Amino acid sequence: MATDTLASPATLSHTPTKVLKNFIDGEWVDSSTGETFEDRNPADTRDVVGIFQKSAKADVDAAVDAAKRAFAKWRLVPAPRRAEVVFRTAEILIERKEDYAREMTREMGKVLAETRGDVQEAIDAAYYNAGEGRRLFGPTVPSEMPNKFAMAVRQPIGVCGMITPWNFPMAISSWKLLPAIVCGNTCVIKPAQDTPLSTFNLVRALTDAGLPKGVINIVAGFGPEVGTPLAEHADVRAISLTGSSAVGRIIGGIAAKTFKHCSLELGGKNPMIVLDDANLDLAIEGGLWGGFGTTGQRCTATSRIIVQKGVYREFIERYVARAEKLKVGNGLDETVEMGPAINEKQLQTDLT
Amino acid sequence: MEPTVFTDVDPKMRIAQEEIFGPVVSIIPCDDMEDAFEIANGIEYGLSSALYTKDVNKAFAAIRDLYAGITYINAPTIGAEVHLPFGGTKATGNGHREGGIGAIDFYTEWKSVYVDYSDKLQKAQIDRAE
Repeated sequence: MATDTLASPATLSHTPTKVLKNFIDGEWVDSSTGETFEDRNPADTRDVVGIFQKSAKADVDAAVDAAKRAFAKWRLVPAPRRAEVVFRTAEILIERKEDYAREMTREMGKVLAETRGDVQEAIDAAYYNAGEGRRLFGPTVPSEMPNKFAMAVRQPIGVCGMITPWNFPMAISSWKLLPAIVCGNTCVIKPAQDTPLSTFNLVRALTDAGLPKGVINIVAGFGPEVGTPLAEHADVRAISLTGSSAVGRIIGGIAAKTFKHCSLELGGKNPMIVLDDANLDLAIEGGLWGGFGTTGQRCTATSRIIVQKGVYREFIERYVARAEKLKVGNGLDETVEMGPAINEKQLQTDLT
Repeated sequence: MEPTVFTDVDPKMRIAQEEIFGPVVSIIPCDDMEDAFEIANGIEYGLSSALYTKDVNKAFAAIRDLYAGITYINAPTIGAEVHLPFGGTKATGNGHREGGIGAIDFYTEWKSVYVDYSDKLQKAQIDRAE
């Protein structure tokens, strides 16, 4: 479904640069601005992984219109049938897991073991949500009146907008898109500008599994030009953001003014407590994985370790010795344990 | 960027309060479990948390008292599975959860349905059947 390829300037992987247009109503379309942006490999910035559309409000409007039209039909497809598309998506993702993981390491930087885990999470989400298509339970309750029946049923909301982060490029897109479509909604997603390719790969698998046109639409670009008009659009009835608390405050404010469903998954400063009676070997291994896995770029990353005084000095000595030995480098190298920071801006934040 | 560890960190320091989103860990000393919980909860966020102990009583105290959306016992703060709710308290979110049935709740509207097959007007709360 990629519309074109170009020769990459990169020498590292010798993999061609993908050129991806927006995906609206089942068609690949240029942005209204005519501008594009590059998705570069953070481990080798000569490697341009993809070129994407730098979209604007007009593109959001077109995508929401397509999603609104698709909703009229998709909502009437029985939920178990909708779920079968998601089940087939899981099976397709299994076949493509290695290719999609490698592309994700190129665009995001985390090591291959972790990008394989990211695709696996989308597979797990697909199987789980496929099962929900045969449940979607609601309560039936006895009425207070004779000869009266009372129950509650779940109904789809309509067009849902999704704004995703770069740290779990496929997993978090799957957490949002898959339950939304099983429930009968249609979607417009703005993937993170640092890692859009993995969302395109997920939607490619969904489309190959038989998802009808317009049910999921992708508009690439940046927050102010795409995310804000998506959140503001009157026909978008739910907005789901995973990102920073600062952006969450903006999106939450917009959603409140227009009475949208709004789900915000934001920052963390996650503590790991080690008491005197802990298994110290286990705690040290856990603290290394929690602190430095995904280069610390998880919203759940272990960024504080609170250690009881009886084991405090021993913990520090052994933890620091192990941290010093972690191998840092390009995530495509299977011996590397920790990849690079996502981009220059994040690196500067880390260093200051 | 290399793995970076700060030791003897005061829980009120910026480095112990603000999200950095990089390979930077602050190690903070504590006196006992209660002190640890106070430090753990003393931030504006509430996503994940973890406790390492061999004492089941302390484990359940952590499950009850750590004010976060997720608590791990004898495992680090990362590693969510898709069929349980995912999300956090305080500045981590707005009360919704992704994952599991939480996501199904978010992406649906409830419609309550009443079917009256009595063939007469029945007034709720007014006509009370004996």
